[in-house]
Amino acid sequence: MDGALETAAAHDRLTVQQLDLEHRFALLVSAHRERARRLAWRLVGGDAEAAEDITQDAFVKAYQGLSAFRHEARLETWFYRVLIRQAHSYRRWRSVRARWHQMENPPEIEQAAQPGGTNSDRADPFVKRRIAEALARLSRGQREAFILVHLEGFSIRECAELLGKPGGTVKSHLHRALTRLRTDLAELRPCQAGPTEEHSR
Amino acid sequence: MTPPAEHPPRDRADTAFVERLAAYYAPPPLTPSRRAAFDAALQARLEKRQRVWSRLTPTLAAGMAAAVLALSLSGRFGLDSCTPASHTQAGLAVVTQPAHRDTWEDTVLALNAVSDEEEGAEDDNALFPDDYLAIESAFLKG
Repeated sequence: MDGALETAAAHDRLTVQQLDLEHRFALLVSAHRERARRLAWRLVGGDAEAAEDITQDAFVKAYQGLSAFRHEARLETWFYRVLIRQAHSYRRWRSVRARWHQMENPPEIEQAAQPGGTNSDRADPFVKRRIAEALARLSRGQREAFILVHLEGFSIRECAELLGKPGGTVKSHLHRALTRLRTDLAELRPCQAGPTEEHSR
Repeated sequence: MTPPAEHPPRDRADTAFVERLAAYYAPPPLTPSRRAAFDAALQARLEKRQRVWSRLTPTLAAGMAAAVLALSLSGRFGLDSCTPASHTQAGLAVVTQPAHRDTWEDTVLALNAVSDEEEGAEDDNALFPDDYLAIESAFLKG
């Protein structure tokens, strides 16, 4: 009888732990779904399908590792690390495939705009492509640091932790990336005549 | 050695430039229907993975058991069986001392005994081919 009670109690504990895991996972997904998808989209150069695939894969990995992380902050750092690594693997695979086919393979920019959406939705696909190409010309470290800090709003310390690099290296990447983008995308600087307006005219 | 470059203080133009890039270079936000589709796809992916693991686990366990069995049998019937054997049982190396230490002579004698039993030894002629027996009867015994 005691044995049966102990078994039932152990089963209850397991169920509670499982529910706890499910709850934590649901919270993680709802809190980071949008940001993770947007980050993946930016890292892979605007390929929406690949971005969703990478994001879901990173969430699946996070689910598997959920029980190992007691602190959510550590879990989030690990999750974004997985996401960044997956995105990098995808870019590398795509560049190998492009070389294999011996032809230029510009990133597919999502054309579908939601009616009445944000500024980004109204952005000219041409501008998106120009930005994607300029980012693609940066080194991997510069591109990832720029996207994480300047476009996604991570702090330099968080970015250093995510990329596994010292803070000084991240700052250096940011400086070089910004300098180069200022030149490559000069037409997008506020003091210049905006090509967006010009193009839409 | 120069210290790492400091984060450049962004002037207003740089700040506006970066904000413009962030605004232009972003995917359209998830609509409720696309969010639901995303969640459903994620759920399906998790379930598929769990199904695969639940199928693979018994297969892997059976494979491991077969491997352990094969290892233990090869230890029992292999060359090691003539010498102090080290059998692997359930993945653990267990050194067993045989009750009787065989010598090579004992082994050869045992093999001879087996071959004698198999041959029957009552009819040596059965060992020779028919043509030899015919030649023998014609020339040697004749």
